Amino acid sequence: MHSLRLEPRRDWELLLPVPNAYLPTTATVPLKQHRGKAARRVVEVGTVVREGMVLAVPDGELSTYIHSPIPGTVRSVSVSRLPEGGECEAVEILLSGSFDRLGKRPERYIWKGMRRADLLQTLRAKGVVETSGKGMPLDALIESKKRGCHIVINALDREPYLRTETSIAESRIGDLLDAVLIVASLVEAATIKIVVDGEGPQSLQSIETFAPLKKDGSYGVELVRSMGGQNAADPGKIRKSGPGSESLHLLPSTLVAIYDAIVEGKAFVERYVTVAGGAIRRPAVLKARIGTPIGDLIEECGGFVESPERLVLGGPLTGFPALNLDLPLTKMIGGVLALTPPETRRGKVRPCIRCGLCGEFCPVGIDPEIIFRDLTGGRIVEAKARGLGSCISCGICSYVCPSRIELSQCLSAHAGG
Amino acid sequence: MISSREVLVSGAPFIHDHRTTARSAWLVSFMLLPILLWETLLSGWGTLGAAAASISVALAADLLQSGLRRRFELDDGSAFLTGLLIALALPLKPPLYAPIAASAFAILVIKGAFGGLGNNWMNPALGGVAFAWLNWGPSLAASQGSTPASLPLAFVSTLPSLVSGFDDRVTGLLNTLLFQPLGASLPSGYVASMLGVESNGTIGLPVGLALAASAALIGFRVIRWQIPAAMFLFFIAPFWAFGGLASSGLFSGDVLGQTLAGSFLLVAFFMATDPVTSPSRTGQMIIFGAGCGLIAFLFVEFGAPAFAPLFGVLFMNALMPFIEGIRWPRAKLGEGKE
Repeated sequence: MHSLRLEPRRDWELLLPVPNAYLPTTATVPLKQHRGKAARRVVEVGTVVREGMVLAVPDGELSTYIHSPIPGTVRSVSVSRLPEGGECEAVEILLSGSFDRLGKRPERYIWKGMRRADLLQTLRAKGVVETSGKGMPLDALIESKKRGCHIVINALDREPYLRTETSIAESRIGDLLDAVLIVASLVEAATIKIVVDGEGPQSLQSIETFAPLKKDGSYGVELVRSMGGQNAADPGKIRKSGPGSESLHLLPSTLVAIYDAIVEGKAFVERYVTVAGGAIRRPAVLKARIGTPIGDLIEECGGFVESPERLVLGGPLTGFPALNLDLPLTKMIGGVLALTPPETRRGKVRPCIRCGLCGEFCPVGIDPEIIFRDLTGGRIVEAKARGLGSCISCGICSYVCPSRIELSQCLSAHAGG
Repeated sequence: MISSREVLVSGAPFIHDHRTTARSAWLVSFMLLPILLWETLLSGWGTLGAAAASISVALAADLLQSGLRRRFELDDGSAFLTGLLIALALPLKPPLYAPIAASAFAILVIKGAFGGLGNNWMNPALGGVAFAWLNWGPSLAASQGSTPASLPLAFVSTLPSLVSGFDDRVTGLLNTLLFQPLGASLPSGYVASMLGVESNGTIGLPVGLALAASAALIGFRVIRWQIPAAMFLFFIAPFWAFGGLASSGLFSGDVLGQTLAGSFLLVAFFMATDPVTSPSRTGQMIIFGAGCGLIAFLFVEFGAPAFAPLFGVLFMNALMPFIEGIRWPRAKLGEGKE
């Protein structure tokens, strides 16, 4: 098994601190932003909403509170198509009225005195979800973990183009460490492991940066430099090697949402997002409100230099295709990419020549080529026996396939949840 | 803004590696072309004519076999490469029916009948060349010693003799500087064979160019080194030990003479490494290559030397299902490294 090194494609200047994106004049907030069930709407057309007001309440498994990202009036309730497929209700808010928070000094709650149940309830009420994987509500995620588990902070971006997590780690290290301490106290963590990009920003390379964690004294703190910072094989490694309740993996974007909810009392209504790709004039990381149309974000980055071939929500290996520029930013989207033909390197789909590259680079050690053959031949049982179930949909097999066969697409469609 | 002409909706990943099947095939052809041109320069237009025949027949046959399946596949480069390999592996000036029949057989029967690119169980060029040798062996063998005649350019008519003279000087120099101090000596002829002139004055494969092309393609990671390396090793070792048994005893086989004899190089680097008909895991590649080498040795020793490398690879092609059954578990997540 070889690990794949991808071109990082981050040769643009990162502005720190991360600039705030303009507020959208209309925000479209889907009531389902991750796996699980959609939230139940509690506002009607015409309802005047304030920033951070609840629009929808949890309604079943994995669903969570959804808040208004901007002050204004509910203009319409429409059906919105989800990038990952399917549809859900979406609340459209027209910007108007005054801001409760923007431009005001943030409040600071002293979390150390709060009880565990109150902290979890706050996370729930503020709509905090993990910003990777299934988008599980954070309170449920934390409660699913064993007391004394290990915390792993992945302070790096694992896919090309994206700089979302690194820029958060760089610009809000203090808030991030506070959030780590909050989570550590909630799960009574045994150790805290911070994974940083070995080639990434210098400020994150030193253990000194993470000294506040050590000062607390009750946790073992370890800094891991991942030399495969761009190694897309790693998300799988992280996800699969964390067996169930033994470890808790978190991204900086989740951690700052925790910080904002607990310390500043803010609902999860904004997130950091990388807007990049060869078709974007001025690539940037922005802090934008949930519900902002991706077209607005692209506009703010200078618009298109050329007509993009693919519009992507998320990373180039695991993201979703965007059908149009009106799609809103959601809690789970860390990147908006506009890719040009030399970047996508699409090509004619040709027969498999059994070169074996897909199996050579597969991070879970299965043979995508053979499983693909089984699946297209309708031999589901054989495919499962060959390890179909361990597919993590990392996209690497399709990336390396010289015949441009949609291996990953086929395998993940059959691998299920 | 995005034009309405095309909205792509297929799922992730959205980016791909630069490698494509077609590009690899065309790259191999591109690296092999200098060999053909050099051979033409030395031996005359007939060589180029034979190559043109085998390539155009291969292309036409591929148009037919892919057309029957309502596809167009000429642009994948594999038919062109098959035709070119057949031209290089056959004698320089064969009777024209040989390359034509070999190409047609390769594309229509070996490739087309099994369902086109990716479905054949032996390399088409290899099968085509074997087909020609089995049918017209004597006349092909008779045409093998191509003499430098009817050269396309007047000024190169002296090339073969120049090469021979160059060989004498370089061999002499190497012997004085390198081999004599070591108590050995390099027979003359090897340096000339690097440039395509055999010791008896006939024209053959320019070994130097073939090696350079192989090295470049290994460097580009288009062909993998494991199969040719194992094939060479497992041919050379027994041949060195027993190849000279009849004439000069143990450990005296003319290893260089055998492996540098045209077809062995071409077969080892360009036909045995065909991804479709060879394994892709390291251990299996080494078993495959070793089998090719050993069987080639057996053919050289006890059968028909002209077929040796061809049959070595053909035999292992047939064993592919068994070889691919030999598996070592791959390193899995969470095991090993951490």
